[in-house]
Parts: sequence; C-alpha cells; structure tokens
Amino acid sequence: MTIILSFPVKDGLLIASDSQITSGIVRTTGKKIKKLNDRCLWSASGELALIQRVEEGLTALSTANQPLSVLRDNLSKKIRDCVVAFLNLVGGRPITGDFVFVEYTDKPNILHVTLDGTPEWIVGRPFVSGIGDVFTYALLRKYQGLFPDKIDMQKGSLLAFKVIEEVIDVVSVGVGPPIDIWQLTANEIKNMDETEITALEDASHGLRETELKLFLGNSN
Amino acid sequence: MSLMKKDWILLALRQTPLDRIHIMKTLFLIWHRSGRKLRDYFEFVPYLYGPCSFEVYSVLENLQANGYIVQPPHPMPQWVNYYLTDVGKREAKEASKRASPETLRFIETVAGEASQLRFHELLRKVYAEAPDFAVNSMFRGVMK
Repeated sequence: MTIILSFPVKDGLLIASDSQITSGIVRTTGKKIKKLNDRCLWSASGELALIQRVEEGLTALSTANQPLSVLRDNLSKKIRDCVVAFLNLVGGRPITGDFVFVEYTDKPNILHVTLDGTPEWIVGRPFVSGIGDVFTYALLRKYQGLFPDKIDMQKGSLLAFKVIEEVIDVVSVGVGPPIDIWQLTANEIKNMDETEITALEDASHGLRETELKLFLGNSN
Repeated sequence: MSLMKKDWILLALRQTPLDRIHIMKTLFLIWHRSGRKLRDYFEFVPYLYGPCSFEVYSVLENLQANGYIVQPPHPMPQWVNYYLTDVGKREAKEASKRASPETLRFIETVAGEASQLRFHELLRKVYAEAPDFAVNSMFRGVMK
C-alpha cells in the first residue's frame, strides 16, 4: 500500500510518496517515484506485482521520451494491456492499481491513469492516490484556494511532507517513512536529499507547535 | 588550530543537551554574535523556520553514526535532545583544547541561553537579532 501526492505550485510541480513496500507480512522500504524520462516522473499505488509489470512495459515503450501530451494514449494502452494480462494471470480476482505521471513543461502536467486505462488530466488541484487518500484530501482541503499561485516550491515541499507525515502517523498499516519528495521546474527535476527532508521535518514540527500555540492563544 | 564543524556541536552539547532546532539556532547565534566571521563554519540560509544550515543535519548524522552523540528513541526525533556519549565527552574534551577560553565560554553561554528558551521564545530571539534571516520564515507573523 502507498500514499502518493502531487500538486502544482507557483514555480513548478511536486510529487511525494511514502517509502514502505509491503510484500505479504514483510515490510521493506524503497523508492515509489520513478523516472519515465528526463522530464517526467511516474508512480503508482496498488498491487506490487501489477506495478512491476507496468514498469517493465513502460521501460520497453519506445516513445517514452515524448511529452505527456503525446504519450497519453500510449501510456493508457500500455497500462490497460498490463492489467488485462495480469487479470488473466491471477484468474480474474479483483486487483488494485492507480497510476500518475507528472512533468513540468511550460505548465504543470499531472496525468492520472486509472486501472481500466482511462487517462485524465488533473488541473489546478492536488492529486492523491493510495491508502488514506480521502484523509489526505481532507488534510489538503483548507489549502485548496492556494494552489498553485500562492504556494512556492519551498512551502509546497513542506506541505507535502506534513500531509504525508500525518497520514503515516494515523494510518495503521501499509505506509511508512522515509518520505520521498521530488520537485519539478522548467529547468530540472530534483529529488530532495536526506538533509533537506530532515529540515522539512523540523519545519513541520515548528508548524505544528505554532498551530497549537494559536489554538490555545498562548503568548509563548 | 581551529575548530572543526563537529567540534562546535560537541562543545555546545558539552554545556547542555539540546534538540535539533536548539542546536541549529545555537550554532547560528554563535556565528551571528561573532560578527558572522567564523572561518570554515556552517553556512546559513533564510529558511522556513529562520536560519538553517542543511550541513548541520549531516554532521549530526555523522556524529551519531560514529557514536559521539545519542538521541533516546522517540517517534518524533526532532523533539528529543542529543546527549554526548562517553566517547563524545572525550572528543569534546579534545576539541576544547583547540579553542581559546573565551571561545569556550562564549559557546557555553549561547548554548545555555538557547536551552532555557522554548521553541517560540528561541525563534523570537533569533528573529529579533537577525531579521535578515527571518525573511522566509512561516512564523514571523506569530512571533510579533
């Protein structure tokens, strides 16, 4: 299980996830956000075996270097094909899977592809996938009017960290640290390093302390 | 001989256990009150909670990995003080030989002062002394 979060900010786009990988009763950690090409990242929630199959399919995609606007239908078809093949393999039992692709061209592009291969653009709002998605949307609700123009990359990174941190704190199984955050701008794709994530942890702690201070009306 | 980056942290912790935010602000105040002229020191940037040097986090990580400092287990590590281990105390003592008595007294004063302040009090003090490092802070409005 997984939590993935992506949203546009004033100067780019963010995508973040937890890093817990669950296989049966075994829990490990690993990266859930991957590169499709030098401009585009993708991630998925759902069954690991299906995600691995899709990853193999995407690696073999000869047109993978194109922008998402060109790739959209190919990605959709590739995912649908993988799902159909996987369904046959598992005898038609119910499966789960949800896919998101992000890139920043002259604007943020977030492409959501559902389990049946339906592609949809997510415009001017956050996208969340995985366990605790409704809870995550609820946490983001009060920031809704701020996307994308009133939140810069630094504050957006903090928001992504804080929301996923709270989901990990509350959801009992399937999600866990470390939190992985990628920043996409017109010039680069950057994976925040460990020290930057630790700084966000401290900033998030400060924000929580301040929320309590405001709530209680204390002067200290 | 001058102090290495890790020495400043060890000498601050020799005075008093501190959590991450208090270590960060102590190191900043040491630099700021020294006229911002310390050589081979941490570089600070105005961050979401005021002055921040990302390198402090990696030095803390190294000190912990090498057994010089320890942080009791806690689900929220940012709230928990770092303590010198016996090895850390010996290393801090060695570091103290490389510093002048004035420098040692200065580190002890700043660390002691920071340790007495709660989170918001500490930020208020830092922002008042160095407003140029509060420009990106989320907490400026609340600190007034």
